[in-house]
Amino acid sequence: MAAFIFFAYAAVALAAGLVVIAAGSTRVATRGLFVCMVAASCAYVQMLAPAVAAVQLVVLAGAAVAALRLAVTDEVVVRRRLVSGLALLPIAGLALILVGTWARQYVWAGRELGPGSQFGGAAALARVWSEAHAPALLAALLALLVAAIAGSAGRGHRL
Amino acid sequence: MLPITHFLYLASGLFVLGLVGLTLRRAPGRVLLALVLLLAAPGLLWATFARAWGDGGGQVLAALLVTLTGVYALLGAALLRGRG
Repeated sequence: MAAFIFFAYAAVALAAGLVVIAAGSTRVATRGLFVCMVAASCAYVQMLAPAVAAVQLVVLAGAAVAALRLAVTDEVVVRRRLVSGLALLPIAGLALILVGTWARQYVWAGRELGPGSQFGGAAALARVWSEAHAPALLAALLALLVAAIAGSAGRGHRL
Repeated sequence: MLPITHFLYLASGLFVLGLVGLTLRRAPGRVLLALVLLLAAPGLLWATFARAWGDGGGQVLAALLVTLTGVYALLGAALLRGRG
């Protein structure tokens, strides 16, 4: 059952990702990104990381997509042949890694996810935050947030 | 229980799709969308390995990466709006 659920939202996420890069309209691509982020957050939920899923839903699938829909207008898509050719090299490398990883599972299926119900919850993450480098990370996030607010404000209201 | 490789495949697929969009698209808005898609994959990897190794710090870094991606998308959208 868990595998069926995984394959369901993984297929939705990858199909929506394909829409993001293949759609002719930017608005359709932005909607595809929203669906992709929502489907990808299901993976966080399934690996018992609901807090990260909530962050992804709020930040990426909410704020970022809303900002992109406001700012990005439909533009003519132009393909660059040279860049397309160069792009084949890393894509081929990644395809090799993917095929190698796929083939490796017949030798070693990988570490299985152990059972647990509290791992990744809000309390566990709060404990890790308090024990780890929370002050530095929070300072960095605060600085980035201030920069984002300052950058996204209108010309007459910038800091 | 699901093997870890399932999540690695999903993250790799998202990363490859983002990379393809990043290299094949020229319009700044579409490049921005592709980069957001690309940056979503490492967060998934962080959370996956944090779950596999039982280290909650990885999930914190995943949340940080997702937040950074959101801030980046917001800044990019603001720049596009200002330019337009």
